[in-house]
Amino acid sequence: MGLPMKPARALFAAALVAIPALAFAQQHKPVQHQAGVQAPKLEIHLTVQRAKLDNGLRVVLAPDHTSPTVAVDVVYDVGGRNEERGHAGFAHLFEHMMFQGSQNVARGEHFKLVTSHGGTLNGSTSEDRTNYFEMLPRSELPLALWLEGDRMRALDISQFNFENQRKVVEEEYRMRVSNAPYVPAELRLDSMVNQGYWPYEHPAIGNMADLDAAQLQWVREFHDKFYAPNNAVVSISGDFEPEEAMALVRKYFGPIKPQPNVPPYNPGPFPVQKAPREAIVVDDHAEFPAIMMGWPIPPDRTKDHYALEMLGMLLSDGDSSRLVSTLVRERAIATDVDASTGDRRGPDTFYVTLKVASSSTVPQVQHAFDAILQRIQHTPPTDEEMKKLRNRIESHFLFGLQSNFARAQKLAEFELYWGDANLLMGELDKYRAVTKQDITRVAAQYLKPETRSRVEVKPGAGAAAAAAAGKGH
Amino acid sequence: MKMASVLGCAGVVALAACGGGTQASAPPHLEIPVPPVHTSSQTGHGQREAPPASLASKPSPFPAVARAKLDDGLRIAVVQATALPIVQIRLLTFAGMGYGAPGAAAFTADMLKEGGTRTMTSAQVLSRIEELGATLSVDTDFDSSVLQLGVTKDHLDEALDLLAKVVSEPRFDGAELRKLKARRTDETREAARGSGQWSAMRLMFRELYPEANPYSHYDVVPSEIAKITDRTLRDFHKRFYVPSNCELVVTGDVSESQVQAAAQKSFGAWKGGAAPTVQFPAAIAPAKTRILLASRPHSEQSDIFVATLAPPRSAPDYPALRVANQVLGGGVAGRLFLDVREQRSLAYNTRSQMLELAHGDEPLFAYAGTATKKTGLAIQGLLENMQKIAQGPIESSEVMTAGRYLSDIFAIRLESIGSIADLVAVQDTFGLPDGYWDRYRTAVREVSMADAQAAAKKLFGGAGRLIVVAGDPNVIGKPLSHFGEVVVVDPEKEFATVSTIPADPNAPLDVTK
Repeated sequence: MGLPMKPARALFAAALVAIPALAFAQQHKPVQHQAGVQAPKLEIHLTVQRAKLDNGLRVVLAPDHTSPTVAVDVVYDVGGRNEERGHAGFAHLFEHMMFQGSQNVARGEHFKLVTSHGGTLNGSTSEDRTNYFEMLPRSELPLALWLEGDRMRALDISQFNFENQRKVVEEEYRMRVSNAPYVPAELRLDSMVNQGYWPYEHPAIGNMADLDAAQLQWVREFHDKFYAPNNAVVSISGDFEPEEAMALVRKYFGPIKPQPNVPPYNPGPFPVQKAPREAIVVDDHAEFPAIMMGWPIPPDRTKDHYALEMLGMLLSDGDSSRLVSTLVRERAIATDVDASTGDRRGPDTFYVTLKVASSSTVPQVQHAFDAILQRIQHTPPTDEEMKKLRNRIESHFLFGLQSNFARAQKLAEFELYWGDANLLMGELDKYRAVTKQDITRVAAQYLKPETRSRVEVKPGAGAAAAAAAGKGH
Repeated sequence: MKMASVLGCAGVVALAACGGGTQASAPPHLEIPVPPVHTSSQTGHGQREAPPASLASKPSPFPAVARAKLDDGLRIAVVQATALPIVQIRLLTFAGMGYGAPGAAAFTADMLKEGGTRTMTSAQVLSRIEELGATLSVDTDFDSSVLQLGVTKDHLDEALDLLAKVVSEPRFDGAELRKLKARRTDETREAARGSGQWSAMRLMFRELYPEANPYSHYDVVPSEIAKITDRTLRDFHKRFYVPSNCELVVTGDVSESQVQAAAQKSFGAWKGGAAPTVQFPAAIAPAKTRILLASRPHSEQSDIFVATLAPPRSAPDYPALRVANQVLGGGVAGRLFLDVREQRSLAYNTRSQMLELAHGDEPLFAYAGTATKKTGLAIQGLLENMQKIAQGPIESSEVMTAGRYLSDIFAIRLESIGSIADLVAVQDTFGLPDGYWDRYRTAVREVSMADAQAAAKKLFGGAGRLIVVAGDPNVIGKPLSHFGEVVVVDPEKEFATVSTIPADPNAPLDVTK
């Protein structure tokens, strides 16, 4: 699943949404770590209640009265991975249409209502899901649920709204992709690692050609197919009484009809990669070369995935991590580095990104990385490193789940992806169970030369950069 | 990929982007009327159901700040919040990015982290901090430099001890400084090529403040980095990093007495002179329209800043100024979002913002990121909205929405101890008294239509505008000349002027066809 506050993988893209975060406790009963270190064991004690309405809507409640605020997160089981070929980016474009008015909410009113009641809101689309959320004073919980129920029931769309949002999304594409250094190369790498596996081969933001081709009638069809209570989770965290919240959920979502024929997700097998893949992306907005690598790895929350996440942290989480301390700080041959997992539901990717310093060269940085990788593939981390990793994982967990929204979001994803929000409470132990031998094993098992995809970014001229910017995806 | 693949869409959530000190929350039990919503008769649809009634509200006052001062002059502020066994630590030094020689503040702060202490190398310091589960980060803002870290509460004493060594016993290792300078030079070169917003911000501050004003230097360029030596850092450190110019802020599961005892042990021997005095010559209000174009060849989008000056943070009508700015472009209910984005389809990200400074007039700008060929239309859209709000009228519903948002969003910000620490830091950087945030929240909710209108006129009614655009000069040069003479600068040549395009009022704005 990834840690709530794990450092972002992407080095080069513009920052998205800074998400700030109950009951946690620190048991001062010593626990014997594998490294032989005595440490107090942190436990998560979120009070979580789960329910399911007759129409199939799953509900997760995490009451906490620390702050007089509440967060509502509605997560739909649809994202970029559900898009048909030729419709790349439509799940995201559709998400924009969800703010354009619904049965009882005129265009623009959703924004005004939430803001005028002292709250904030947004939505986001990934390959794996789409979510919509409001953060409000506790008194406005009915408003948030009413708004979400109304647009789950029916949208009020028009050609004007659709054309407007198509253009807005195209501006978003320019901002996030075509005008952003290194991002086209990131997308190219994803398409290479997932070559032949359409759900993740194409980016959730899509491409200009498919966005241009999108049609108004697709919006209603998409809503009918995927935006049904039995394809969603409503998650509420914060200062509320569970009985009162459930009554509101039943009132605003209960009458919505389920969709008996939600399209099944049948992605087919992930193609086996038998040879390394290489590409060069010429990027007019990049000042320096960069190396990006990716390897296919098992899905999130599998046993080896926990070890791979810890491998990523060992390599690049913090100034004393291996890649940062060696390539950036000690040898100064890279200006920025990152190694991490993508944390996808389906087949996942282990990413490495190395930005080359002006005083260095691509081969020099590549060679240095290869040596570090080879070392961890043969020699386990030290006991001190394991202790540090465990401390940092606990810290990331605690700090990453502070806000109502962070908790609502994480619990909703656990409910949607893995069937039970309460599984979140067992996550720390999954990481604690990873041994140093596990880390070495997964480094050797998954980060193999023959399954590596590699993109080299060359600073360069505009035409080539535009061609590489995903327009052909 | 995470950034590119998880797409936030309404474009506003960023609580962090609300800006320290720009948001506040409500006083207890204050009943605020909610603006009317459109109903069926207004929308042309069938009878619409009204939004539900609110539940009972609860007060969310800013938590009590316990204060103390060590004998050496170091101020201490503590907010106890026991929900989680964690603490956030901020060590503030009241010295912003332009204080001293260009780059001195940021490099000094960075080298505290990167340059080791008298008894430990930087690798040893950082490794020890990270073994605690923490990450030491450094942020140099307009008026402060902040070292911060968050730890579980059982590590507080050691974290403070390490932080004290970092701040008061710096080594400023020469080899580390050389590496940092090289890295920062690369980063600024990368920003000059890849970030239109960075270039525009650099230009905006350069134009709005005289050279002698610390705010005239937004970040650094390579030639400024080249001039930095270990002497620069030692002098800056000796001058600004003195206990009387610093403050320790701790929030979380800890009491004031615990913090004071630990701070006394760690920071008690820190020595230093009086807090320095820095001069801030008056800002330069644009007398007429001035246009700067930061060249970014092949850019597919332009970053547009239409800037002017706002009154100082200490202005008595500050709450009304905040409300007026909020009405124009403070969020998804603002006019820029609803018009420039949702009607004219000219941008994904558009807003207006006052950048808060501790001394003197503040930059105020309207922003839009727009497709290169729409640059002229987007500038026109921003200007029209600025002019329209200055002329009025502002609707009562707009004032109520803005006031309620600015007030109540504070409660959401108070959910994390990091945000609370940041708000204490902002309060003390601006010299605001305890209780300020609650009074501010009341004040923004009590702003009248007349007050908001007067504030809008003050903010947006001036004749002068500084228009800064980062984009492709080959496409946008001509449309920009519609608004006046265009001075083209090259960010990759440290913003040297490379050409001038004469004013041409007849130049077409719309080059999309």
